[in-house]
Amino acid sequence: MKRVDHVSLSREFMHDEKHVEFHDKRLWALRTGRDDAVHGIKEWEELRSLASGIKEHTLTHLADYLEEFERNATNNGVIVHWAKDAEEHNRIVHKILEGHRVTTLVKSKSMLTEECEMREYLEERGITVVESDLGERIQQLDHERPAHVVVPAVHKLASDVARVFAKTLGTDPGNSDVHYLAESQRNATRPLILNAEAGMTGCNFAVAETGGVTVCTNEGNADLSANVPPLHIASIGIEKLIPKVEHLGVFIRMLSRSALGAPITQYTSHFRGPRKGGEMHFVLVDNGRSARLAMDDFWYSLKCIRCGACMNTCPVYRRSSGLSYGGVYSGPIGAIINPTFDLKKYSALPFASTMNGSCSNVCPVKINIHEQLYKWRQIVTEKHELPFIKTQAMKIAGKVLSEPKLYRAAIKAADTAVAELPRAFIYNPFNAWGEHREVPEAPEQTFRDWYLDRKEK
Amino acid sequence: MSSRKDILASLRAAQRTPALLPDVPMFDAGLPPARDKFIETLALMGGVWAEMPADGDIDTLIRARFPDAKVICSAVTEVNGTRRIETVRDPHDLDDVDVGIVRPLFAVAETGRSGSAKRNTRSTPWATCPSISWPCSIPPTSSATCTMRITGPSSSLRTMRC
Repeated sequence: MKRVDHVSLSREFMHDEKHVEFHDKRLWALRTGRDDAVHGIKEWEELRSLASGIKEHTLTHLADYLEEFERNATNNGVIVHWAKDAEEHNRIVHKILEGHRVTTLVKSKSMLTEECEMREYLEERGITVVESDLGERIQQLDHERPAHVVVPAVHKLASDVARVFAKTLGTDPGNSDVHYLAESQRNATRPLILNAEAGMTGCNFAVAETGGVTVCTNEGNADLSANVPPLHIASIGIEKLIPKVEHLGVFIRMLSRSALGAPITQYTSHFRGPRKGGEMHFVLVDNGRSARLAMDDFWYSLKCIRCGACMNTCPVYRRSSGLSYGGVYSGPIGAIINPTFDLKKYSALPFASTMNGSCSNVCPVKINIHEQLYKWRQIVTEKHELPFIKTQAMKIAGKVLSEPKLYRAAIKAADTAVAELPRAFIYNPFNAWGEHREVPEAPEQTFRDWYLDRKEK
Repeated sequence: MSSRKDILASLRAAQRTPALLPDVPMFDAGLPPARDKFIETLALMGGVWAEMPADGDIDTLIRARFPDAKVICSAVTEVNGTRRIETVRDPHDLDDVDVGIVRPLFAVAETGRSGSAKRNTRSTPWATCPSISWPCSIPPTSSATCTMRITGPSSSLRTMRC
């Protein structure tokens, strides 16, 4: 599998300043909205500890809770399936659909089905899959994966969406009015929902005590997908389990506040059993999760509730966009999850961070994201997965930083170079630090020289 | 069933040190007046609070608020609407509904949301089908197979708001 080159992919996105500026501002607005919402809840830090504690308890008893969930769901009339990996998940879903002669499946947003590449699998077998979430539908029509776990098309300007819809839905290419575009998509998707023989949702939380699943959306599209067709399939990552209904409140209070700064998603829907004459299937999917649970340094990432707060706060993500991470999950959480699937392919991602720790600070379930990034960097280096240039650069940096005399000489040489050399020499193609920014002016003297001068006086 | 066995065996083999399940407090000390808070948060989420008319005629109130609505489907006895939910046999029949009237089981002040539920059979993707859902406040009932917590209008709804 080819290694994802995060730097090159970021460069593609950064090529257009309008996109970068919008992306940065939009996501920062979500981050500040999150801060405002969080400051209104005085027990927020206690909620974070509770959420983390509930998740850690569940994960350390996951097999028992899965059995309890299965038992209760089965008693509610749900048919429960187990899938070891993406391939088995897709096969199970296809078999259910084939058994009901389904030709159109309408679904709400699910990162798990993206992870399993289910849409492609089903479409190859003649089943039309319709994404009903607006952002996800934009991405589907543009043949791109979601760029964000909550706002999948956030990297696009309204004019980009107008271009996609003009090509695929026949809208006016010159009309970038957001309301017009949303309305057009809604009108185009509505008949597809009405004609679908089956509906699919993901799952935000699966409650062991009740055997029910909770799905959070802002468009009501999960409810339409689940309730209009007679057949409902929910794909559930096994880490989505929580023990009891009383724990649900903790997460519901945190999810949308962390994601968008809203007190709650517009729709929080709880599905427990099929309606009369209908059928409900739950597919419990492992796909690498049990293996991750066994990883001492990385199992905490299974606590993730996919709020995207770590992405919104990350300066690297805001300026490089989700597509530059080259995988289903992007941003800081993607940089620690993706390597568990394929270390070689995603070896560059743990380096896409300033290590400022903000991702860990905003995480509602207290995942130590920046510490895991550091651990992954160690592993990538130990396994010799670093590119040659970076390896050599690190070797030189290690040598210079470990010898004070050499370090001081290097600093002086750099200061002189910045002060004396012509611009063309400094801003050459090999100096990544000179791209998209001005190199700071060299100070008249180093801190050390200033300190020594002062001491002598 | 071998995948089931494999997954459960892998999870047990991971042998993580068992963590205790924390108690979740109610966090109910010093809460603001529930009704005021509900109205405030409902507005934040794009919803509008409507007081009960003095004469109790909710039908007229809804008509006045949504004069362009052609189909008003009611699931509550206090509002007639133009279509009764009892006459709807299939979810697809709700496609032309402009305003839906539902009965919340409860409302949450902090999030400005109301909760409605369906027991089993005929009621549907109820509040998501019409452009407008109008939760009508009535005493609670008990268990349900599917519940929804609704706050403001969904982001893809048409222009009308309630």
